[in-house]
Amino acid sequence: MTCQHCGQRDATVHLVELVDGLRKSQWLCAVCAGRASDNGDENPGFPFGGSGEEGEGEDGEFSLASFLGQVFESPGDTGMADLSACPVCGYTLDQFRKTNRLGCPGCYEAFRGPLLSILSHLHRHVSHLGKAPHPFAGGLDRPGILSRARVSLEKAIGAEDFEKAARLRDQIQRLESAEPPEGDS
Amino acid sequence: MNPFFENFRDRVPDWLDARGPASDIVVSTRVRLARNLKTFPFPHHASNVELGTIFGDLTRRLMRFAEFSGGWVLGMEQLDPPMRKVLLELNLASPALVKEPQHRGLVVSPGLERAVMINELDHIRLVTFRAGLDPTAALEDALGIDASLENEVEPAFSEDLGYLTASPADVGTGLNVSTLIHLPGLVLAGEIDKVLNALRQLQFSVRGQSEEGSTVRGAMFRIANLVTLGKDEQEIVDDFQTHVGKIVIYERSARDQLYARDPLGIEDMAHRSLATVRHSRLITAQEAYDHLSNIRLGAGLGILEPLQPGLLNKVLVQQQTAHLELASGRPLTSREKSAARAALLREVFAAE
Repeated sequence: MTCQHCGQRDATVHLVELVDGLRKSQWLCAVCAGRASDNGDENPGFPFGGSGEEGEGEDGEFSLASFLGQVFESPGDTGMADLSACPVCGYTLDQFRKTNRLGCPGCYEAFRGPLLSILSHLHRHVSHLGKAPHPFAGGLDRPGILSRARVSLEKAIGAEDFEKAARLRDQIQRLESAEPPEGDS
Repeated sequence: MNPFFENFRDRVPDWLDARGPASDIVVSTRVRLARNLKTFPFPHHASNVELGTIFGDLTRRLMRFAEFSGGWVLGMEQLDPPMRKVLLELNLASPALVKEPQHRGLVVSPGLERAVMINELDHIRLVTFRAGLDPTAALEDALGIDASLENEVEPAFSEDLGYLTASPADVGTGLNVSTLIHLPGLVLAGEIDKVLNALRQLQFSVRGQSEEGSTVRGAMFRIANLVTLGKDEQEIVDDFQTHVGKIVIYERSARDQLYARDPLGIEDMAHRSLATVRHSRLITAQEAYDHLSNIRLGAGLGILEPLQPGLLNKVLVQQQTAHLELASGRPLTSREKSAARAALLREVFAAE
């Protein structure tokens, strides 16, 4: 597929924006996506940005909320993302090794293999057992949180940690009583 | 000038008032939650436009929260370097924030017990403080603000890995709980290495007082958890409370044993240090830390007449370089700093 902006280079970035609740989708090449992202050239490959709409928010302010609806996907659904670079932000495994920092939340998926071994070394565990954010509509896998909470509850009862068990029981009740999200996410 | 810095010498954090649990040993407890916005690259990989957007949006939202009402927005870029360093010395800002001020900064509550660093290592680093050893109260406070934030912005979160952070060392709960603790008894008894090694075995980090430095000054240590996965928030905080609580007990017993074994030596040390800060004309930072440590020990053992609660914590913060420079209104040479520090200590500890 060619870039829908310049019509020349191959499209490698799928830019999806939610504008006033409507899904707006564009396939762009890395160059055009980079231009759309910001005026400078700091992150030419980075596919975020206001696509020239910066500063045109309602009260003339650049709104973060407009960004939050944006979703980026890698081209095709091959699931064969190049492991050496994050398809979302272009950060490479090599950069991560040098800085010990990741480029964006998407890097956790892109570099999952190497990260899991680092995490098990750092934390001796690779599963999050703490709180989850309030589920955004259609956002989170609520059944996943529920099943994890149930497993933790059983463990807590087994360990006779009744304070923790009570907390988990309350959490499960809250999750069960919450409205299920509409549709699939 | 940002109003935060007007009369800043009176702007002493509430959590230095020494009125918390185990305040004889523990100066303060800090809880930090690392959070990121789902659709932005982490700050070090974000463009200036993105950083500016995040900073503007988050500060606007946070200042509407009851917790920050009457507080301040401190954009690092707009502050002079000594003001940035003052925030660092107050433990409100991190070295990373001071080093790269552009589109970075913090929101601070009126009592300075809550702050949100924006575009530091992560987009959001929410910190809460309490006097003494009180991680549960600090966590509760932090989770309250976190919940309000989650009503407004969607965090980067993965079902199995939890909150996603720029460094894999923070992923999961994003929770770091730390405490500033005074352990002169264990240092004098030669037990400190054993205790600190045991803590490291239990996956805690132990450093000197300052956020950046590993130098230990005046027997002040900062202990923090390292593990953020495989435990929930309350469990992390409970483990921290248990282990630091044990150290508090060891420290108290080390002090009592030392004093019982050599009362004259300990009394001499405390009185000698008090006399030094009351009369010196030049005091370096290292000296000040050592004398303040001895005075704190002496006051704790009842050797010295009781000091106003929190006085030692307050002076520990205010004798730091950037505080001295900002108070004098100009950069100081190292000799001038020693003179200003000595003057401050003479004033604070003036004999009645």
